[in-house]
Amino acid sequence: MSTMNPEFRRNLWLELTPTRLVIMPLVVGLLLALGWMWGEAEGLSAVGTTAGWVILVLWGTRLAADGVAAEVQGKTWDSQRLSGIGPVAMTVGKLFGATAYAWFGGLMCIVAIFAVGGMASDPLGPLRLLVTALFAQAVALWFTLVQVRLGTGLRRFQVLLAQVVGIIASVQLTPLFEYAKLDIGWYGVDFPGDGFALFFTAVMTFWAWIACWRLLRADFLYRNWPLAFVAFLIFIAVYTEGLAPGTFPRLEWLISGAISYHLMVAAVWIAALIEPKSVVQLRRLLERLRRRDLSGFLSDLPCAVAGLPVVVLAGLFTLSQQPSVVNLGPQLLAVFLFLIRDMLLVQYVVLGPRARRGHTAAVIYLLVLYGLVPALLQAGGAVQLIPAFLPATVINATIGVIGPLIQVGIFAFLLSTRLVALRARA
Amino acid sequence: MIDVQGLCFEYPAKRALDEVSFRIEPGTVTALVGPNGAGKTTLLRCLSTLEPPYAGRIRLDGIDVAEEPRRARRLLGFLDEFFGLYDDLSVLQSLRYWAAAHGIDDPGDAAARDVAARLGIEDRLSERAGSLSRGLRQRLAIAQVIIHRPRILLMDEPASGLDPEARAGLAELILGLQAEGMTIVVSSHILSELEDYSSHMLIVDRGRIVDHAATGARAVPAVAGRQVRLRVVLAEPVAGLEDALSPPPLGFEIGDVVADGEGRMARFEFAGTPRDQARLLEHQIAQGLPVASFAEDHSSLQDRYIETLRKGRS
Repeated sequence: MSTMNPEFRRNLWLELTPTRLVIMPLVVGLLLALGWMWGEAEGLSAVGTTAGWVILVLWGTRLAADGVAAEVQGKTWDSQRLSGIGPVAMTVGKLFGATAYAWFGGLMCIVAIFAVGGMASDPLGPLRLLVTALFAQAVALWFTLVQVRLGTGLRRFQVLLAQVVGIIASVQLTPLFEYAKLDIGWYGVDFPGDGFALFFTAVMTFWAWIACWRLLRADFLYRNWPLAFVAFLIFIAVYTEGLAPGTFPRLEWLISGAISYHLMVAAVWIAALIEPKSVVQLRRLLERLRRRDLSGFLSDLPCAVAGLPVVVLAGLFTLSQQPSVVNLGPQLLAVFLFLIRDMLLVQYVVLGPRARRGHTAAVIYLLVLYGLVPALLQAGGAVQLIPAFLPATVINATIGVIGPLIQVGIFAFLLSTRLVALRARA
Repeated sequence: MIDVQGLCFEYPAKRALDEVSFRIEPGTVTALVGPNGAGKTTLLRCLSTLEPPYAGRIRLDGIDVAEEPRRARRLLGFLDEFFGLYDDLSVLQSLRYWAAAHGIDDPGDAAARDVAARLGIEDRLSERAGSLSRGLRQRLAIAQVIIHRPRILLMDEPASGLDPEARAGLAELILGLQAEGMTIVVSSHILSELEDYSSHMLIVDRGRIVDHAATGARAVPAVAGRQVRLRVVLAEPVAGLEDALSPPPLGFEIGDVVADGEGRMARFEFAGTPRDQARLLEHQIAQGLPVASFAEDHSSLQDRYIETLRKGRS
């Protein structure tokens, strides 16, 4: 029996056909030769880096996203879900199988850059290309799975969006590489700035793989407790805690507490937005609670809800550690209230009559609340009211807490009426 | 083999399956029938572990599918009405892939070639799946879902889009798989075809099981305890025929008696021995019923289906 991952092998059959195996070296070889003629080793490295990025990141994200989107459109996804291929093997098979042809071309570029000694100005370039590609592709696959589970959009649109998200996630780190000329201390280890950014991307790649694996587990209907997400939140705390000593001494209190708190809130917020929602899921969750089916309850519990206690604990810990010269309480509370408001708002909109477009509508409402309303208040001279719509208690702490609290009440009321109406319809 | 208890499935504004309970015995072929929107496909998708039920329990050969979906899936083959194939792979590559995906150790592609031969596509192994005709695609799809020799096969509208010859071939295949011991559930609207191979009929209407009984349509060897449907026709109408027929004080039960409006004909389920059947006839004659005919009911599935639905709705 072949011990090769079946999904990986199937992708190799499709991707690495004899014709394609000839075409890729031909094209990449010509490009690298052109680079060499322009500027020998430096020229080849520059062209190789650009070509590698185009092949591995620009195109690789598309292939990674299409690895699942094509299965759904081709109606083979359910068969794959029922097969004996587990979530780990499926993650590996999709990530490295669907992108095999891109890796075939991209690795040629990377090897060529290494072979000529790389660029003197950027010795980490080839390694960064490798890690960035892995990260971008994993994010693209993850975001496709998110969309598949939400049941939104057409294949072409899903793939394009996942590709954009994957590329943006990898590009976002680039300014760090440029900016971070300083050494960064992390748990007593000094990293050069770009080396640390590379390390961080590699760690985030691992988390992106975990996220893909977890979504596949959920889609395969395995019991799926939100442990991975809680672990990710704890990782955020551990990661930011490690940054504190030495790197930003004056802001040590901020790094160790408030930053990790805000990052956790952001992670929970994103989870609340992208997780599938339905009234049936809510009813089933409550039913499992009523029957004291703890395993089933935890399996159905949305990650965002599971993350709330961790956020609360992080907030309390931050408050206990804050220096006497500042009072972070109102800001942390306001951020938490905005998170709850947004979770309620998204649920309310998604459980509405046009559920398929609910998430898009929710994003638009949030953009209005976070962007348009504060801009109008600013233009109208009512700056003091802005904290009611943005977590900025530094402007006015009272409005910054009462504003979101009232909105939490409004959306809780709206959601409860919608749930009652849905129950009556059922 | 399939044990369903209190199964509920909900869509946001509709309960698609409501407290569904039934049991399917090993080695049977069950026709899953019902009107459009009755919940057949939802039921099949729950049975196949593709959809999580809102409440209730499904056990496949004793395995709880919610607790151990991966173990349960090893027992299962599921053919969706709108199945997909890997059009760019050859037939052999497709079969090799699914063999490996189900964890089959297949040196020399023995399993792939064997299932291809059973489905009559052994001469198409090198052809691209995308180049096959509708009937051959159907055969390849079935080959893919049975390559791991599942003990339970679920099929949703498998005859859809097939020509008459291919449909006849499908019926033969289903009977062949049943003979190998497979438990099969087939959802279809084409009742005349289900009649060719179904041993039982499960009628779903508005998310509930309306009827689940042996079809009696197939020539089953007479064995003690088998379940058949009997039909009594009288020479002249008898008022209150249902009451006159049941229950017989003979030490065995019969199913609910369904009589026509005139009191001239009635049907009921019967699970006794041939000797019990003879005693039942003697009893009815002794009761003074003018029995003109007493035999297994070979009325078409369609008649029974419509009759049961009407009864259920009234």
